[in-house]
Order: sequence, then structure tokens, then C-alpha cells
Amino acid sequence: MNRRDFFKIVSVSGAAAAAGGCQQASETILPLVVPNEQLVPGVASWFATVCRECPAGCGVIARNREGRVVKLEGNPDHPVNAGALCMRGQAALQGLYHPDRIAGPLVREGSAGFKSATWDAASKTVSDKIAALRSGGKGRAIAVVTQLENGSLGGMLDRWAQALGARPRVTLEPFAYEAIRAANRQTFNRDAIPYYAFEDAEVVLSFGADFIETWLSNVNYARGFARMHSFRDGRAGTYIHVEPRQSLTASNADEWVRNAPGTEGLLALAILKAMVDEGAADKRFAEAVASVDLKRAADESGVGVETIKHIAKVFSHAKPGLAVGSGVSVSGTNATQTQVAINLLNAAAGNVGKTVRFGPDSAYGKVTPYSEVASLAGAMGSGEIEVVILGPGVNPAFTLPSGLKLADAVRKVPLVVSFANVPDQTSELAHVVLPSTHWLESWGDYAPREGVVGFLQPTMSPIRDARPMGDSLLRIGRAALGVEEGKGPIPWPSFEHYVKETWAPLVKGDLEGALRRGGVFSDVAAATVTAKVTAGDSAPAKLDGDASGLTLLAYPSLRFYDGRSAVSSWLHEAPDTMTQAVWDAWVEISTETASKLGVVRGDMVAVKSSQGTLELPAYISPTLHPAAVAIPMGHRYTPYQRPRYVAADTGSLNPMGLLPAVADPASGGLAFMSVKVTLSKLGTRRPLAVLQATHDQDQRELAQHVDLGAAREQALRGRAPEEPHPTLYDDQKYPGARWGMTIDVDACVGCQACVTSCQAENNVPVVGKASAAYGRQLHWMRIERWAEGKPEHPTNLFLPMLCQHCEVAPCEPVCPVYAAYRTEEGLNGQVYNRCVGTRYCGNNCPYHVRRFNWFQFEFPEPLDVQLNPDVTVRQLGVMEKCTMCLQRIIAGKDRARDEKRAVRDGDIQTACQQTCPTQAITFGNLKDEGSAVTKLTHSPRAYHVLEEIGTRPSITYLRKVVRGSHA
Amino acid sequence: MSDSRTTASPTFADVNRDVLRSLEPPGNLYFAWMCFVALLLAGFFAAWAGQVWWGMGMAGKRVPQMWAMYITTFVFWIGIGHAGTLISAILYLFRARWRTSIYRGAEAMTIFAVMTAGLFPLIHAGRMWFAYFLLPYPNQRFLWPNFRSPLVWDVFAISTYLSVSTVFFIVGLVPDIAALRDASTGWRRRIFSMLALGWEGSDTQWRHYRRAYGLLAALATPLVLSVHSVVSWDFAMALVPGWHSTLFAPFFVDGAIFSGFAMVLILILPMRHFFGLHAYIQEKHLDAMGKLILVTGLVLTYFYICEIFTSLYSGEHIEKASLFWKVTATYAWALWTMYFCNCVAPLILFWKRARTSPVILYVVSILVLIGMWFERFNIIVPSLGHDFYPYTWGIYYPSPTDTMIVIGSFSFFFLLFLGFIKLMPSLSIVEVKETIPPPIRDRAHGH
Amino acid sequence: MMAKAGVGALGAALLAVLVFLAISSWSRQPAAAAKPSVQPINFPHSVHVGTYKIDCQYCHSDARRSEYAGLPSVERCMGCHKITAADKPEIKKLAEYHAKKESIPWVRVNKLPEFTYFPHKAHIRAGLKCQGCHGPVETMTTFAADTGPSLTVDLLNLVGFRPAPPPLTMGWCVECHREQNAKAARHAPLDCVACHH
Repeated sequence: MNRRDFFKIVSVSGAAAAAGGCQQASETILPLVVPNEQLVPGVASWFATVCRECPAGCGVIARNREGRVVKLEGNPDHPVNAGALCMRGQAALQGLYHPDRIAGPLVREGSAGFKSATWDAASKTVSDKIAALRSGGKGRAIAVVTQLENGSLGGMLDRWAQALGARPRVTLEPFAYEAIRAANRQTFNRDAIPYYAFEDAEVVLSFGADFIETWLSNVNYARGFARMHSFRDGRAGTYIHVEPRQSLTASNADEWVRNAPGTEGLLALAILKAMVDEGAADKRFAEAVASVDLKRAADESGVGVETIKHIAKVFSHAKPGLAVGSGVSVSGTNATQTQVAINLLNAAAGNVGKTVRFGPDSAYGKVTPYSEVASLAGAMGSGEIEVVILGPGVNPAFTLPSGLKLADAVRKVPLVVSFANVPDQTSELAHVVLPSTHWLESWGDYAPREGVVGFLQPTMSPIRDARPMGDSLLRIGRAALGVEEGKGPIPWPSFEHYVKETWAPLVKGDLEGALRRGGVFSDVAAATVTAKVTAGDSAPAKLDGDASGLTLLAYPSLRFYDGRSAVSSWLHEAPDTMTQAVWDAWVEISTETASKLGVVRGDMVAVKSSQGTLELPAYISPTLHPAAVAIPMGHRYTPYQRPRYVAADTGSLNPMGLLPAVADPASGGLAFMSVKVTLSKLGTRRPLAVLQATHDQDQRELAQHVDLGAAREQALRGRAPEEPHPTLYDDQKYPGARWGMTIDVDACVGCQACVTSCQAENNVPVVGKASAAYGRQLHWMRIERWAEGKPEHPTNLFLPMLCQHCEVAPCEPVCPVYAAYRTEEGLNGQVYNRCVGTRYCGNNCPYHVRRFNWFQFEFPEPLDVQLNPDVTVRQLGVMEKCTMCLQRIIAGKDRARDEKRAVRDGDIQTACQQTCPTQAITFGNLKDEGSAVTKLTHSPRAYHVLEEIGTRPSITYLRKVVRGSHA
Repeated sequence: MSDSRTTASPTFADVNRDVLRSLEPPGNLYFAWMCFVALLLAGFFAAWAGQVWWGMGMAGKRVPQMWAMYITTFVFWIGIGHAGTLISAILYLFRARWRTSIYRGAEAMTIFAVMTAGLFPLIHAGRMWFAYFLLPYPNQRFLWPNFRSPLVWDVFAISTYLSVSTVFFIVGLVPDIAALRDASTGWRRRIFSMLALGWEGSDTQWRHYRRAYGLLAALATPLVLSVHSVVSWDFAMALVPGWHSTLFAPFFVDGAIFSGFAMVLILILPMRHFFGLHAYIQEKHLDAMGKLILVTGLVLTYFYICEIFTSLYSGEHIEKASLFWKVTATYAWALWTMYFCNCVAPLILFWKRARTSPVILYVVSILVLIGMWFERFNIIVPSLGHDFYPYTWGIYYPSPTDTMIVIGSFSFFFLLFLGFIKLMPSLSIVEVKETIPPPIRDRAHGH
Repeated sequence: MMAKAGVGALGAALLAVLVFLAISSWSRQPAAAAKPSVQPINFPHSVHVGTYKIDCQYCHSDARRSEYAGLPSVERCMGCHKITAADKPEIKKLAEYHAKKESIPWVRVNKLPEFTYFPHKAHIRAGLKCQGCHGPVETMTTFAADTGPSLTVDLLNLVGFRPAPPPLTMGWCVECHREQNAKAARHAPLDCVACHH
């Protein structure tokens, strides 16, 4: 793989480009036929678009080099994510350049499986069928299923469906939060999901809402959370989390309350009751909690009365506070009642309108409720449906509970048309596959919330022979209607035309500007709503299966969402922060249960529910509630990942296979917490690849914390005088800049976005399960989780660890050939082509952040096209490590020199810093007294990891600030 | 043969006969051994080739054990390479006459051991094809090696040691080769006369020879100490808990001599048996070497105690944690094997019968070698496995590749040595003759 | 006599080892650039640069703004050659490519190993002449470059000679950077990672 060969890619056809960039030493260079001012070989151009990896709809800018997108970054102008991006967004490129991407239209040939076809032939089969149905007046037999598309695509599809007399389109989102809508209908008389202003809250009280992982809009809310919670911003608000399992979100709480599964609603009411008793809430709420008895609530939920009172006190004193709920894993048949209780809490504490804002409502409000999806499935099963059109991103056969028997229902449909661009469990069942372009190759728009319309534009030409779903359907629709272009109900020549047409009123003539900004953004004022107080219902969730079983918590994974991001090997290789496990899925078992079963980590366990059995390796967790068992959702592998990266898995890893098709009656939402399971030991083993040897720091104070009071006091007193390091040598002189970094352990929420961003930026290869398990992963940075205090109730500290660029670096003197050396700008340089591979530096690095190329790691075509041309692809046998994004430093200095000025603070951002949702990472010039990084290094909370060794790192950490209850 | 075994002092004629007998065409047993060793060697090269082709990952190394069995075995062989020069140079200067009958074998062993050791830096390097980057020579890149790096010191120390001991060895051989030259014919004669550097045995030659030999001995002596001190600094200069210790230089040198003598015995005893050299390698020789092993073993034990004491006394948490882990956790078995082989096993040599019994000596020597290999293993693998950073703590598992290469290194060594004993006089004819009373002429005429 | 032969043999053996190491190292290095190469269209730089005095950056217009110097688009070639010398056989070839809307598969001449990052931009900004690195292009009928690390140079160094480093090798770059810093008081970077990252 040779970065210079990116010349080849600047050529006419996308196909040729895809082939490019993978030869050893290319001999030919292909210039453009027609010059393209947007494309200067060697100069990046940026295109703004919208991330479609989940319905949060973050703004993205794509870095395009030589016609290929090589990196994604958050769009700084976008109100949702303001420049940050989560790991799934970062890894979207792996979907774009997926080796399994469908090369062109496919048509099923009986039992022989798929055969590739021409676009005309493939679409003809579809249009003929549809035409036949229309003439037969059976338009209702056509169903269109897409992911949440509330923009142009959705609009056009609705017009299309109407024109053909098809059923109204179904938008399928496995995590639809129907309960929040239903509850808001009850309490506030609004069928909407509001905007939760975490940033303005003083106290956040979450009932299983994993807002740092997947809940509604994780980047947006992680940002907001950092504003309200981190000491840096002077707020240092309090965060209390109620959940039976210590999720990543829970582990960020100042107080994590472990409740019995399904008692969230009960607890919410109990807290409200306590508030009423204390007189902290309006009397009119008394009726809501008339039936609630604190003592009983305490017994049922396993949360002490004192704790309940304490929470009530803290929450009611907040001005304002914020209570959120309906996390997927804890929504059962009582989800709506629970959410109603939470609504009442917010109302009672007077948060509505302040932190709970109707008006800028979330796009989730437009999702088709699960119950309607179920009825569609029923219709398929009963043969009413003859054509199903499945948009990209929907994979119902995988994301819906096996209780629904959806796969069987789909098999009954005579013609299943899939627009997937990477094969998945549902496209396997299709008869015709018309691969749609990846969202990075498509036009479109998406409004994550009222007033925010993000525009999608193609950031590169399609890498495979794919067409936008809109185009294909327009063509099919017209063929079925027998009208030609420009006429009839769907006249548009292409979807792009439709999009531009709908944009015209929005952009008011300035399309260019809107595209550059990434959309049209406006603020929507919060509407005033009044809460209707209804009697709270504290009935626990109805669980199917025998009472002796354990409650199954199937939780959405930060890495894979509902499984649509699981195509990315980067995400499989980025550890789950809490368990530090990579690749395979696991079943999380509490210590008590484990000792009963006699299983240890890695033992295969059969998880049996009324719906079926799942065989997974066990992960023993001291924090999980003894009455529960937890399994992450979304784990699946694509063909090229097996056996390249992971041995063939033991069948399905998907907990949906255990769920019955039970809905919450009030909202019609799927009850995820709806089944009790029984565990049995299988006797076989499938060891998990867990990267972190231990979560115990063994008194080494790698991740440090300070009590809130102490931190405040220090902040007033200023920095304690730092004792100079005794040394025999005179200090190093830095003629130019001295680059340094600070990492705020207090702000880090452990979301792994930086890890994935680094991997994308620096051509870090994927090593696979076996190598990762054996300490051969190549990540340049890692997020460590250090647990303190009681094992069943620990305080977690997240420590991002990367090359510390020590001023007295142990790796440098031992290198026999100066491959590791100190640059004059204070970096610890690593010269790959000089490295002989003695690995002495690796031994001598006390932080063990140096990585070795044990093998020649491959970038299977076309993933090699994504490689950053500014970073060397390392050969086998050389050491590598974090360079503090040297290529970005060089580019920044180059830009400054073009503008005939010095490099300013903030000019240069490292990849990890750029994508961090909580801005925990700051990079800059330590010699510039005014720079943000210098100020932070002088903070009273500043410390160095393993300071006593005297390596004098260029990376300074800021202690986590823990609230009293933890100290 | 029989007479030479009974008579206390053999005649010059016996010497020539007995020593040169070892150069007679070899028997089947010899060839059997050769084949076995060659087979292992083939495996060694196959494994190495595989590793160069597919990458270092073929060997079981990982983070944090970036070093493992290769460096272990490297240090082991360097250690073996000590006894030779010690015997031939230092004992020569101290006029320890008993050395004469064993020093030739010991010197050969030294050179072969150092050659074997020399392979390992290459095997160990991730990109061995760039190993020449470590050589300081003016190149068009204007780049030099990093003279602060202990690895570069190694390059100098070892190459110096190898060259000096080779010269010493060859010079020592000259008169004997001359003898061979006179005894042989045809192509052998050619080769021998080339190596004999035109030796006539004239008085002037003898005078120069003696002086040269003395000077070389004096030159070689400091190297005995320097080489292994330098090698020990590979560890002492590093930060790793369990490595970062000023104790290492003497510690390593002593261990080296200890294992060196064990290896000498392992080579000498079979030669003595199969070539019937009992008259020259007598019990007093065995006894002397037994004593040396005993003494160095005791000194080593003392160093072990110091090592434990320092890390306990340091009050440094990380040091202590590392020590306790070594003693108790996964690799404890290796540690205790080492303590047994190096501290307990040699104690039997307090007993004179043991020192003179070839069997016991042989067994003890083998134990000592095992112990010394594990000493290096224990310094490298467990220390790295439990160092500063808990996140990466872990266990190293040897892979087929590095196991094969370690075993193969022994075959490499023995192949060279087996070759040597058939091509060169394995005892110094000249010096042995010096040790026995010159023949009395008239008595010779009496018969 | 024989003795000398013995010593000689030893020396030969040592040299052999060094040669082996050197060769094996180059065997692993990216292929050095093609020597005078057969281009799809016989393009005489001498005519364009020498005779018609066309500025290098007229065709290689990316040099001032990009890492790469870039090649002229077929459009740009045709810009002149629609009229100029349109009847010449070589130009006919060009016209064909243009008609077929195909790009011309030029054979790469200058090629640094992939671990070396060379931005043309910075060097143009510093006001360097193209010929400084690429040789007297205006005289070249077929563009050629003698480049890449050469085994002979290293071996010569090995035995004590100090030949000037060949063009487009590291020593050559470093020499120039040092010279510039010394004479022109510039800030040409000498950090390894400035080019190797």
C-alpha cells in the first residue's frame, strides 16, 4: 500500500479509483481529463453532510483527498454535535469502504441464491410486479419500510407510496422511545419527545437513560452533561443514576443507585412522594403519590428509604434539575407509567420549560410505533403483503425480537426489495437487491429536531455501482405508472432534483452557503405546557418466563447501536469501556449468580428464555444486580471479518433472539425488559479478548481524584508550588514551539470516540480478536477504566492513555539507531523507516503505549482507499505510537506560513481532541503563556501519571472531582 | 591406551598418539550425533525463515514482554562464552598448570558460544535486514548509531570479545597445527600449513610465541569482565523494576563463569571418556573445576539474597510488587527451579567424592546450565510481565517458533564443537608435553 | 604466503556478511524510480521548457499549493495543441486520449519511498528552482532522474571514501537544508519526523 499512489485515484471513473492505491510501486500516474478546481491532488477539500449512523443526526464534515473521503469530523456549526462525533460516526468510513459492499444489483435465482443483474433488469422485475398489483387494484399490498427519514427522502417516498396506492410508509427504528411520547401525551398533552437541556441542569436524575451511549442523541447530551457536570466549567452539578446495571452512563454518575429491575417507576413515585412529604413539591402532586408507600417502595426496589429521601432532597433543591428515563434496557410493559412518574417529577420540581423543552422536539417523535410494525409483520405473515421495500439501514430480521417471527413473515412475501449496500440478515431474505449509495455518497436532508435541518450532499463518487434509493424508486415508480420523466405524480428526473426543489424555500437562494454550513439551523422557542397530574401507577413490568429466572437486560451498545454499525471492524476492535472486551459479545453475570453456576469469565453459558437459547461467553460483573443478566445488542459479523479477524462465532450473538414480541400497552412500544431467563453452564470455553489486565490501580495513582470541596478550595488558593525535578543535565531548549496536551479526567466520560478517531486518522490497522487478546492491539491510545472503592459499588475513573511525549523519555536513550528521539518541538519522534525493531523502547516505556507491528497487517480492498495519505503505513517489524498527529501540526504550521503569521492557539487540533464530545482533551503550545493548554497545565488539579519516575511527560492530566458521597 | 591410563605420566609419544587419535576418522556414534544435531539445525533455520517472512508475531512475544526467550538465550550463550578465556588467559597468567589439558576445549567452546550468541540479536530484531544500521560507518544518510544505547555497547563488546578470543585461540593452536601439518598429507596438509602460519619451532619463534601469548592473555583478561558487564547493562540501564539495579554487572559476570565452567565439564567429560584422555584430564582437574563451580555458585547465591534484600529494603512499592509477583505468581516455578539448580545443587560439591566423580559432576553441570538459563528468563519475562503499568500486566507463552529457535541454537553450538574435535587437537599437545617430565635419553637407549 | 591467504579469507568472509546485509535491506526497500522511461506520448521537455520557455508551473500547476507537483489535465495540453503542431503523430495520440476522454497513463519518473513526505509547496514557497532537484529539465528530451539510495555509495562510504550523495537521497536533502540554514538563514527543518511521519 503506497500513499503516493493516490494520484491514481484522481481519475475519471469511480471503479478505477476503487482499484487504485493498493499496488506496491505503481508505475503510472493518471491526471484528470478535465481539471476540477475542487480537487487539487494533495490538498484536502471538506464537504459538510449529516451522519446517518443513528437518528441523532449529527453534522459531519468529510475530508476528501484525491477524490476519496479519508476522515470524518463533527461539523462545528451544527447545533447538535458542535464539532464532536461519537465512535460510530467516526467509524462510518468502514461502512463506506466495506469490503463486502454489494457490487451491483442482485436478483435471486430460485434456490441458487443471488445473481448479479443489470439495473434495468433488476428494476424491471420490481416495476412489473408493482404495475401488476396496481392494475389488480392491490396497491395496499405494497409496503415501504425505511429507517427514520423525516427529510426529503421520507417526503418523496410518501409521495411515491401515495402515487402507487401503497400502504403508508413505515419508519422502523428499533429504539423508538414510544413510552416518552405516550407519557407526554398523558401528562403534557403533547405527542412529542422534547429537547432535554442537560447543559442548564444543576442536578440530573436518570432512570436508566443511557444518554452517554445511545439514548436519543448521545453526542449532544454528552456535551450537555459535560457542561453541567464537569468542574472545569465551574458548574460541578450532581448526577444521580438509577439502573440495575452499572452502564457506562451510570459509571459517570456521582451516585449510582442499583435498583431491582423494573422498579424505576416505583422509585420515581417514591422520590416524588418524599418531595411532597418534605413540602418540596406542590400539594397537587400529592394525589399522584397517594398510593405510594416509601417503606414498600424501598423493599421492592432494594433502595433504602434514606437514599430515596436524600435523592428527593437533592433533586428538589436543584434550580433547575432534570429527570430523564426510558432507557431501552429498562423499558418494560410499564414503560409509560414509569415515564409518567418521571414527567411528574420534572413537573413537581418545576423543570418543564427550563430543562424539559417542548418545541425543539426530537425527530424520534415521528417514528412508527412498534405495535404498527408488528401489525405489518402480521400482515406479511398472513400473505396480505406482496411487495416489501426495505430502505438502507433497516435490518428487521436482526433488530426485532424473535418473538415476532419476522424472518418467517418476510419469507412469505413474494417480492422483497432491499436497498442495503452491505449484506445483512434481512437482505439475505430479499429477492431483489438494489444497492443504495452510502449516505456519504448521497443527497438528502435530515432534521434531528425542530428548527435544525441538516443537509446531506455526496462527499465522493460512489465507490461501488450503487444508486440512490430515491433514484431507483422514481424510475421503478414511473415504469409501474407507465409515465415518463417530468409527468405524473412523481415527475422528478432524479432524487437530487427533488431534494434541491424542497430546499429552495429553506435556503432562500443561498444553497452554496447552506451546503457549506451543513444545513439550515434556527432556534425554536420552548412552548409552555401544563402538567396534568394523574394518579401514579407503580405496577412493575410484566415478565414472561418462570419467576425463578433472572431478568434479562438487553442493552443497546454504544459501539453498534442496534447493530447497523457492527459492519465496522474499528468498532469491534475498540473496547467496550466498562468490560474492556473487544470483538465477541458476552453475557454479563453478577458475581453471586456466577458463583452459583460455578462459571468464570470466558466459560460458555446457555441463556434460555421462552423464545429460545443463546450461547455466549460469560463476563462476571460485581456490579450487576443479582436478579439480572445483561447482554449487549448489535453484535454481528460481516463475511470478511470471519475468519480474518475472529474465529467463527457460536451462532447468534444477538439478545433479540431471546425476546418475546411484547409491547407496552399504553404506548405500543416494544418491551425490551420483558423476559426472565435461566442460565446453564455449557462446559466449553470461548475466552473473551479483554484488554485491561486489572481494574485495580494497585496504589499507583495512575488516575487520581480530588474531593469537590478540596478542589474548590485549591481553585481559590491557586496552584501549589511545584518542586523542581533534580537533574544532572540542563533543561532542553525549544527554539520554536513546545507541543503539549492536557486531559481532563473529570470531563472524560469514556466514550472511546477519540480511540476510533485516532485509528481513522493514523492508519492504525485492525489486528483481530486473537492478537488483541494477546496484547498485540495497535491502538495508539486507549481509555482505561480504573475502579475504586467497593467492588460492587465502585467509583470509576476513565484515563485516556497515549504516548506521554516525555521530556526525559525512557524510550529514547535505549534506541540503538535514533529511531526514537526527541524533536526540537518537544515531541517524542518515532522514525519508522529507521526502526530496526529491537523493541527495547517498548520494554522501557513505563506506560506501555508503544505498539509493535508483529505482522504485516493488511487493509483489505477497498479499505485501503481510506488510508490517510499524510501518514506512513507501517511495515512489519517496526515500532509505532502516538505522534500527537504530527501531520496535523505540519499542516497547521504550513497554513500559518501561507498566511504569513505565527501558529495561533487552536489552529492545530489532534484527531482525538477534535472529536471529543466533552472536550476533555486540549492541545497546544506550552511555550505560549496565553494558550489554553498552558493555563490548564497550571491548574491545581494538574498531575502527571507515574510522576515519581521523573519522565516529565508533555501530557498533563487533571484530577477527577468526586462528590462527597464517593470520597 | 590401557598403559596411558595406568601410568601416572605418559611419554611424549603417548601424548602425540593419544591426542592425535582424537583426529582419526570418526565412528558411527559420532555421525549419529552429527545427523541429529544437523536435523535440529535445519528446524532452527526453518523457524527463523518463517519468522522473517511472516513477522515477529510468529514468536510468542507481546506487550509487555517485548523481549523473551531470544534475549534469555542470548545472555545465556554470552555467559557460556566466559569460562574459555578465563581458563586460558587468567589461569595462564596465574600459572595454574592444571588448565593446560582443558583450555583448548574451553577456548573453542568460548568462540562457538559467542558465535551462537551473536545470532540472537539478528533473530530478535523485527527487521534484521536493517541490522547493519547498528554499525557505525559513514553512510550517505549522515546517520550514526546512538552511542547512549546499551545495545550499541553490546555490538562493540561482543565483537571485540569474539575477535580477541579468536586470535588468542588461533595463536594457541599454531604449534600444534604445525605438528598436524607434519603428520598429514594432501589437501589437509595444505590447509594446516595455511593455518600454521609457517611455524618451524625455532627458538626465536618460540620466544616470540611466548611473548605474544602472554600479551594476548593480558589483553583478554579484562574482556572477561567487561563483556558480561556490558550485557548486564542492557537491563541495568533500563527502567523496568527488577532490572534497574547496580548489582547486575558483577552478578552477571559471576553467573557467566559459573555456567561457563559447567559447560566446559559437559564438553570435556565425554571427550575424556570417548577418547580415553584420562591421563591428561585427571581427577585433579575435575576437582579444581568442581571447586570453581562451587565457589561461583555460592557467590551467586549471595547475589540472589542481595537482589531480594535490595528490593525489599527499597521501600519502593512497585519494586516489591514485582518481586512478590515473581515469587508467588505464574512464573514462580521458574524462579524456584533456578534457586534449586544454582544454589542447592552445587552444594554437593563440598564433598570431595562428588568433585571427582564424573557422573555427579555431569549431573550438577547440567542442572547448573538449566538454572542459569532460567535465571535470565526470570530476569526478563516475569519482570516485564508485572512492571509499572497494571493495564498491560500479563503472561507470555512461548510459541513453536521461538522454542524451535532456542533449541536450535544448542544444535548450532554442538555442531561447531563436534566439528572442532575432529579437525583440531582438542588438547594442547605442546603444553601437555611441558607438564610431563622430559624423556631420559640413556633409558631410552637401554632397550 | 599461505598465512596471508588465511587472513585474506577472513576479511573476505566479513565483507560478504556486510554485503549480504546491505543487499537484503535494499531488497526490502520500495523500488527506486524508473530510469529514462518509455512514455505513452513522447513528451520532449526540451521543446516546452527549453525552446518555448514555458514556465514549469504552467503545467505542473499544483506545485505551489500542494504536496504534489501535479500533472496537466488533458484539457490543458489540448489548450495549446488544438492548433499547435496538431498534425504531428505524437499530438494525434494526445488528441485521441482527449477524444476518448481518457487520461494519459504517464510513467512515473520521480518517486520517493512512501515513508518520505516531500511537499513541493513548501519548497516553491521558499523560492527554490525546480531544476535544483529535477536537473536541467530544459535540456532533457526524455525526462529522467537518477535517484534513490544506491548500494555502491554506501559501500564506498564503508571503505572510507566520501562520494557526494546521489540526488533525491536523504543525505542530499539534508546537505541542502543545512546549507540553506547556514547561508540563507532559513528554517529548513532538520527533524527526522519533518519528512518521516
